Amino acid sequence: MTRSCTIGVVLSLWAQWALAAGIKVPKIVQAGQAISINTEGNGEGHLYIVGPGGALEKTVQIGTEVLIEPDEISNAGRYTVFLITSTSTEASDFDVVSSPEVSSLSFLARPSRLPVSLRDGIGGVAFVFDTYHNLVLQSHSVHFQLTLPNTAPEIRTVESHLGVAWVQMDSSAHAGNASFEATVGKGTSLRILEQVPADACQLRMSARPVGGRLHVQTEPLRDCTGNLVADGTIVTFTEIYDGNRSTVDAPLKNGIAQADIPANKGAVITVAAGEVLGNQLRWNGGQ
Amino acid sequence: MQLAMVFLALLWLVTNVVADSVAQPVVQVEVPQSFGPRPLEDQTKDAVVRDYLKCWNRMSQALEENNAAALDTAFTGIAKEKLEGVVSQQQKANITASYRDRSHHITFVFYSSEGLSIQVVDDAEYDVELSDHGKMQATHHVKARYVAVLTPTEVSWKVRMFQADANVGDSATAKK
Amino acid sequence: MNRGSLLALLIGAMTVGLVIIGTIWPVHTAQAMAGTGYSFNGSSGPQSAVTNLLAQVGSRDWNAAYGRLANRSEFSEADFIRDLNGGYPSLRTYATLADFSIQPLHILDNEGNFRVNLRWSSVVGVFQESRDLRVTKENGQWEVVWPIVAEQRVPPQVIPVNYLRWDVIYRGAGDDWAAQNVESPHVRIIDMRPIDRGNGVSILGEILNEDTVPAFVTVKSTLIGKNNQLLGTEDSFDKISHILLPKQVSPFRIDFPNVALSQVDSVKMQPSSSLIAASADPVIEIENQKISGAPNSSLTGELRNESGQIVNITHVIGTFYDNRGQLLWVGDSYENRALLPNLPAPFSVNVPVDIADKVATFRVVTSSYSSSTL
Repeated sequence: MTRSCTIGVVLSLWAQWALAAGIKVPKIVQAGQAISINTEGNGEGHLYIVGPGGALEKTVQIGTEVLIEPDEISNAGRYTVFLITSTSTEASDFDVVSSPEVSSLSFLARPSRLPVSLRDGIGGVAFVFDTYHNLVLQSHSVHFQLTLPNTAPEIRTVESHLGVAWVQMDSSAHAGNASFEATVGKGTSLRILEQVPADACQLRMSARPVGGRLHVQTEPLRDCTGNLVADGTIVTFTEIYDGNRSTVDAPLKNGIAQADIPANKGAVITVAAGEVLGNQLRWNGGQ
Repeated sequence: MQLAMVFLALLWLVTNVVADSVAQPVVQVEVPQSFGPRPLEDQTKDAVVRDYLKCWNRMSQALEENNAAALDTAFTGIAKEKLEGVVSQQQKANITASYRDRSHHITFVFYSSEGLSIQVVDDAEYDVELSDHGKMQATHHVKARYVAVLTPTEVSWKVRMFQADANVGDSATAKK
Repeated sequence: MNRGSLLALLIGAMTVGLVIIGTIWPVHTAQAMAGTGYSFNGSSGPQSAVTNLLAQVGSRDWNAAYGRLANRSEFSEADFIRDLNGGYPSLRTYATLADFSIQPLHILDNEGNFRVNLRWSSVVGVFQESRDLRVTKENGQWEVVWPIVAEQRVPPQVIPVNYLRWDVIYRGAGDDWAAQNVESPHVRIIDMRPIDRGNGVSILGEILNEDTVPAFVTVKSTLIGKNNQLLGTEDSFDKISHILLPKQVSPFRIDFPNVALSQVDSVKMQPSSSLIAASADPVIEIENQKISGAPNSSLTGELRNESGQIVNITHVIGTFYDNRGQLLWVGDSYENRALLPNLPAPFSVNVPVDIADKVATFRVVTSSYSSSTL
């Protein structure tokens, strides 16, 4: 009786050992490559791969190599492999890393509109991705280029860290639409930033009679750095005559605002743009 | 009667301890001197940490229940798309996996100058619990470093990019 | 029977009763507007002739109305329609005659004079119009002599319009998350003053577009009471010029009925702005602005459209200041006829009598709506 019990126990232990499974997985795999998992032991089992990047399940013959196709697991991240048989459970981890080749990038450029000559006024942030839209955590050189029409581009190169590269640049002294581009590998992205002039520095107008009315017109309106004030800026002409008032809000076009107002002899005409006041005229009927 | 009361008290104690140990991972937060370019206000830091931890909770819920809708309040963009893909893969395989986070060491790495993105690195420890057809199969303890980028939405920060960094951390033996 | 059912029954009974009374003894203008008309053998009296005519105008039965005119040989039916309806799309085109009143001035055996006040209802409110109508008796029938107002016409021509225009390109569904929309325009409230008016509080103010792009602006205001309770939240609605070009200032007025200024502890202002495609055209000159005192205190002047585009609806907003430059009032009016290129048109903005005396200076702005499909 004792002998048969002992034999039974030994046989059962041997059976368990015989059926116990083992797995060997590569520690790191690149996204887009097949994953080879070696299983040890015999019998049948279930292989599970789970992680925040993916999940799959396969029924496998223990003792054979299991091949995971590239499109089954392509998101970068930490995965856990479970091999489960009727008698044992084995687990191991592996990482899928992004492919080193940059395929695309997300480019944040702010602000979309800023004054000229502003130190560190422009900020650009680039997030670098591979073909499977994994953040490329390896360092890459990211080129940031800021270009205004008729001016030489300004280029900065920054090394990405954990998939992010950022830069701060000054806005130029010239107003206009600047193109701001980020490039790394095959990835490129373009943004448009508007560099706007400041308020008018000096406002002057003139008047001349035209067909029974008075045509008033400003000189080209510039800011203190010489840029033409933004087109569309409203300039208000006011005429005061005999207790009455006439006003017209005229938009700037190519830096000049103009309007036709009644030609009243003795009228006083003033001009303003925002908080900037211009010169004053008195119309004396042809003078 | 006295035995019943003692039993109830013990039950309450155990339940709370277990509940606490499940719901409250240990969290450490670090903001290095080199952090920038935008300075980080305390209020923003607290909000980001709160919303980042919420993302773990939602991710675990989504993958445990195979319910992608649970991701809506915590994830956006590519991170949400990828996790939705995982839910779909799990549904096809009839498996679920829960991710019970035990600890986080969160380091703030980058905050863009216009305030539209924050990057954190998280040395996290968590347990992965695998179930097949509703039956628990195995648990595995994982230590991994995660890199996450969060962006602000109307009411909270949401995780836009979320992936582990390679070769950091180790694992514990599986148990059933 | 419980209280609710009793109340419902009472309201139902009152409704039925009022309907019966209204049917048996209708108000005469409503009767006329409903087309029940007055039974007449021809027009039975001079006033009936006027009433019937206006009823037909109200129901837009132009042909029948024109047929009743004594002087219809002096102008065409189209001229008659243009006089009342507007020759170009305008507020008047889509207004309905809500009500009219007739005041006899003098009546003789064969002729009479009446003053009619017409109240037109439009989408932006009511506008009034007065006309003096003469009636004559021909072959036993009373007919109205219509005082036609020939609407000015712009002769066919080409007018080059080359004012600036802004278009906005927004991010689309296919754009990456990092491709953010262009920032909203920066606007700022530069003046604000709450005042007590009648049985309510009005918040007066001015808002400036300090950006270089056009902005669509609105202003919301919240009144907080002494115990931190919310007294009300209101919007500027149409008492503001919504589209502001760069460096343009608009007044605004936000009305809170049934609130007293003494209840208010603080006022929270929320201006908001968004990018909008806009045009710097039309430029409207506001000429001969002057303010007249009681009894009909108003700000009057003339509008001149200096561009080539017909302005279908012109909104005139006046800002009134005292001798310290403090805001006194913001008032507005809509012109019910289209503003044609280079043809001046009068405007009038009512000013409350108690405020008109204190006005030292004022400013007038216009906003305009033009549409070929209006």
